Amino acid sequence: MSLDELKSEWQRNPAHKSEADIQQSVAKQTASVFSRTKRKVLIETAAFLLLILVFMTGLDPERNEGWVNALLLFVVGLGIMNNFWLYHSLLVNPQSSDLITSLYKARTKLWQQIMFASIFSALFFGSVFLFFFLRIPLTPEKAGLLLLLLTVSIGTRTGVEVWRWRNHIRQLDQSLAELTH
Amino acid sequence: MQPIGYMILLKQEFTRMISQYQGILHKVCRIYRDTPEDREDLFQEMVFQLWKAYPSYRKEAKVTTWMYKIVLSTAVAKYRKKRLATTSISSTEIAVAESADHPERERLYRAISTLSEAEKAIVTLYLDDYSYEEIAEMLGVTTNYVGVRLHRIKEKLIHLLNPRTHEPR
Repeated sequence: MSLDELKSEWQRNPAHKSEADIQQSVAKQTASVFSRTKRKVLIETAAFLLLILVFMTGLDPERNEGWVNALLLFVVGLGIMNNFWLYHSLLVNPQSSDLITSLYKARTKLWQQIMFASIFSALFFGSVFLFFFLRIPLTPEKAGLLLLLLTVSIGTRTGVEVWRWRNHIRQLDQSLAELTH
Repeated sequence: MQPIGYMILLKQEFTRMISQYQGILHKVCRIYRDTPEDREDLFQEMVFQLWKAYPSYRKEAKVTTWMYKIVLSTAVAKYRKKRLATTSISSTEIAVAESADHPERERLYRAISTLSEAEKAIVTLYLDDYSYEEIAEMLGVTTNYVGVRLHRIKEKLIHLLNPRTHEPR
């Protein structure tokens, strides 16, 4: 097969879908992406609100200093806002930039998610620890142990996030390496 | 927020456009995914991404160029759980494709599916008659890069599609 034959073979359309099928494709994919994300956002928001309700009503918040409770509320609010931001980002139109730029953007987005998960877990676990342990006197050993527990919690959360996205990041890196070398 | 009537018209216009140029989507799905289910998923994802980008499409660029930029980005950037064993498909396996309904086309797709992600993008655009400059602009690489890569790709494809004439002596 010569190159001209390759071209003419390639330029024949391999399949055909009706306009109705295409319209259905748009509706189906839109519905599935949005409903999946919407469900995730709603579940996580409900979980955050429930958590705050439990902390602020059943776990003696009055025994804490005001800023400790405020910090916990702020962090939970941050988590909820991030979820809504993720949902909103689905509505944003992608720019038809070149392939390399698109791949860089996709990779940056994944790293941002990992970074956010890491910072959020530090703030969240940190404020939960403060909520419980600022009200009791701690010996240096106990404080050290708590700090260790906090570090392990943050490390685990970050590790889980890196593990979750590692193959996708590797795939993007491979494509980028190929296009830039 | 756009009025509902405008959105309905926009959707109809979009559907007509996709219907007219759907060959691009089918071809990209065919070479970037190896099972019918994965191809259908990618087709839907690409139509979804095109639909999201459609309101900002200015009609200054050629519609096929605009479509190619988005569908190639979607195909390459989207995560694939099971990666293709791109180097393990042999000439013999490509020859098996001759039993399909369109044997020549099937052989061509199989041969292209053995290439790397970037090579697939380059050859897709080349076979659709884009110039080296246009390919470079769409991928974000230099014209020289496209030339060097295409030379290697052509050799690979000719070798895979004509194994008997390229056997070592």
